[in-house]
Amino acid sequence: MNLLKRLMKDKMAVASLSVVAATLLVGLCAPFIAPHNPNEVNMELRFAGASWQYWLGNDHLGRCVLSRLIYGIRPSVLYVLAALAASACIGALLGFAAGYFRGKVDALLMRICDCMLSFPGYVMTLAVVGMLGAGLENILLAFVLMKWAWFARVIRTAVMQFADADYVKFAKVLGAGHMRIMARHITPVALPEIAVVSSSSFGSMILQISGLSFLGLGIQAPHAEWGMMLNEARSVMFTRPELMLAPGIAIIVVVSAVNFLSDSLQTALDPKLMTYGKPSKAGMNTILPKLRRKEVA
Amino acid sequence: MGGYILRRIAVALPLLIVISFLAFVLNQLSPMDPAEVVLHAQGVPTITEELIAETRAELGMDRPFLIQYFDWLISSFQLDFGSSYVTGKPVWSLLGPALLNTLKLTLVSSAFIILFSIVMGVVCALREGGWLDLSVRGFSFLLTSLPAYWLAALMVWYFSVKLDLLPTSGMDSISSYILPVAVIVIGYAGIYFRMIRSSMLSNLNEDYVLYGRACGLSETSVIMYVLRNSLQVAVSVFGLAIPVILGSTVVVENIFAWPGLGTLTVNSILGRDFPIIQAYVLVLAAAFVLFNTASDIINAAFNPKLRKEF
Amino acid sequence: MHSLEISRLKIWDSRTGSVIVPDSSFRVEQGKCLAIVGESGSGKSLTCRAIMRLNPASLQQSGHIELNGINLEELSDKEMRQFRGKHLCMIMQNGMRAFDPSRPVGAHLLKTLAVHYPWSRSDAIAKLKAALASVGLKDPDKVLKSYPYQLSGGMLQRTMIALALVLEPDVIIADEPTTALDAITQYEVVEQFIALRSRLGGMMIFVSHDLGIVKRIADDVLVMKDGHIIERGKTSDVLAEAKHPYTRYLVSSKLALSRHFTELMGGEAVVEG
Repeated sequence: MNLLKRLMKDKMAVASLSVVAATLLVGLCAPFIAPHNPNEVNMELRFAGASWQYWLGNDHLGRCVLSRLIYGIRPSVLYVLAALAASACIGALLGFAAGYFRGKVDALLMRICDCMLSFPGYVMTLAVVGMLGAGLENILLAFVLMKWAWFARVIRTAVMQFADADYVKFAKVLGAGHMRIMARHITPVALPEIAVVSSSSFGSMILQISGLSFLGLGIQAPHAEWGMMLNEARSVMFTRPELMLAPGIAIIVVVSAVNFLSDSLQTALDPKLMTYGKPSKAGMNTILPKLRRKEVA
Repeated sequence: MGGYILRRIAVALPLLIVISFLAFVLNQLSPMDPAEVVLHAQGVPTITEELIAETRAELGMDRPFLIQYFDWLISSFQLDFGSSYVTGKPVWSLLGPALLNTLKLTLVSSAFIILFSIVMGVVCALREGGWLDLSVRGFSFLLTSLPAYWLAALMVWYFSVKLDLLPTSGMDSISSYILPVAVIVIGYAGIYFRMIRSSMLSNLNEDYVLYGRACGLSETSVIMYVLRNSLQVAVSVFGLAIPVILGSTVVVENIFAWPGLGTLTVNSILGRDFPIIQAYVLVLAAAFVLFNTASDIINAAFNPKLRKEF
Repeated sequence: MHSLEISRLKIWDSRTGSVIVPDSSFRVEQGKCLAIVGESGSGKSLTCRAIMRLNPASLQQSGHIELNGINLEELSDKEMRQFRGKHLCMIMQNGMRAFDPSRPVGAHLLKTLAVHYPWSRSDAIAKLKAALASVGLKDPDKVLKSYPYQLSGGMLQRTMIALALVLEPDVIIADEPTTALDAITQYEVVEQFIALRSRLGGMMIFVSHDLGIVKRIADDVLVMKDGHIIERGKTSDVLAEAKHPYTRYLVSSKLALSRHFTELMGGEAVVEG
């Protein structure tokens, strides 16, 4: 809770958190908030400009851009979050196992992680999509497949640090069971670490999924998705460039909010980073995760 | 040094084998029968069981799994990745020229990315907290949140359509490079700039900088010390960056209709042309391992301490 | 005329406005060694760096620092640079981190000499080798060609002392030069410092929190706490009958810690009774 308090002091963090939370909420309640059916074709309103009834105008099939934008939150943000949660769970479980039990389990898992991590993210996603065919589910599956190793690696390191801490040894001496020790002592300490890793990959995943949809490899028409909307807008880009604006800006706003939040989280977790002029001694440690993060993007 | 290079290559080889195996398995895991895909692509009207069995035998798919793999691996070394299911042309005759085009784009972009991020990273670190530092950092933060294809589309609209200065697509002249390279550089320079900057800063706070100054060395010599040590990080960072950029030109190529790997792969995915996808995965993964190994070796040449590890 | 005089030195953080060292004045005479004692964060290192004008730009300083009648605060950056090394020589706490990790140690030494003296390269190498041998390094050639990671902390500490021997500065500022070393190496390095003093005959400021070493090397002691100088005087006087309670606390707590060291030194305990 200390972390949350420190985070709340940072105004940028509060603002970014509100943006992300609002986006998620609007996405969840899309049917109640969206003024129109996102797939309702109305050829008379083709390329209509903004009006009181259609705040952001209409697209090439006369569909309500605002409603499509709101429904697009689901695949563009919510599903990505779900994939992230899934890979975090898998990674966390395996990472815990590796860091806690050590030995052969650890060695085997880490070799697998090495292999997964040595694969560039984009290539991996394209390979999975190429194998299973285009579609949103397949991209999400590819995300889970390549992200878990990353979580496992980070969480293993965190667990290794704390598995040796005196209070955990003490609990072991007292005869607390493995699961109990994990739940009571290691989880609360490793949780902030997980938060930083997931928030830092969240932004790049949103960018990536919309990118793939833009290429036509993701969600299939007529579903609304931000990348898909841009793809549709692209065919009329030269005559109606304004259709590129709304989905593009939505992506930028959400991704920057996520990135800001992730940076604030890191600062809140490691106050050393805040005192500027004195960067942390472990220069490379902070550099490499960032490198990996973009690698996946 | 020679020993280090050998050890490093000895680590890379098994990784390549594993990757090639994965690339091969991927194909086998597909829910669709390649024989069916081929028949569909050839426009055969009615697909019978016998026809499928015949095609499977033709493709060599009735043999044991491991034999198929080794056959494929050996012919891959000779750049023979089989034939495209869709066009029937040898894969390499499609992939080779596309790879070359993508490499051109990647190398030109990487050169600019390296140039920009080093110059800006060094300048901003030396002026830490100044207005230039703050504005470049803010700007680079914004750029990392920008979808590259969106930016690309806007640039095409503005520079090619509105101002009619640059070609919208293709790869005909030097000016065709300007827009795609700009989009890639904008997408990546921000990240690598931040790495160079933080590497510079952590080096500037090292004791050897203080001692160098305390010995009366000029600021230029001290900064040369810092540069030499910070750029070591840069070598490994860029060693990893080049294959990453190579793999992520997909979107940019698609927008600018660049006749490269990305365009080819996306079309192959949409057409379910497995041999091309397989070859793409293999070639890029191999490039990744190669660049990784090369950058480690270059780094060890700079920094003798690293040679002891491994 | 030959003295280093610091008066009304004030160091503060320009960003937060917090004052770290409010008002320090002290003086080192020709041929004397002044020890500055205090726990970490008491402003010892910042005081040393203030004399060299090497604190980061965010730390501001005011006051008067005068070496042999020259006010260091009034020198231009370029003049100050020529003073560093030639007149004011610093010896760092951690030898392992004091040298550029990607160049041989000799590269830095030769570069430093080239800045201050018009000697030819072979002359400079000859002088360095002689100095390295005199601080007890067996193979000076090898030391010059070694990378910092290939040498031990004690060897690098001696290398810095050897560089000081060649530079012949008026003032040597040693910032906790023995803290990072094990007990035996500490002993040897302290011996080298004593030899350095007697050979150069200049002034020395020796920052330490080890009273055993201070007793052995220093003529005078300054005790710092939270940026203030709380006690000063002859080393033997301060250690024997400390006036300030904090100094008494330091003396009694260090006594236990330095027993092992004093055994090695073959001397008696720091404070009798």
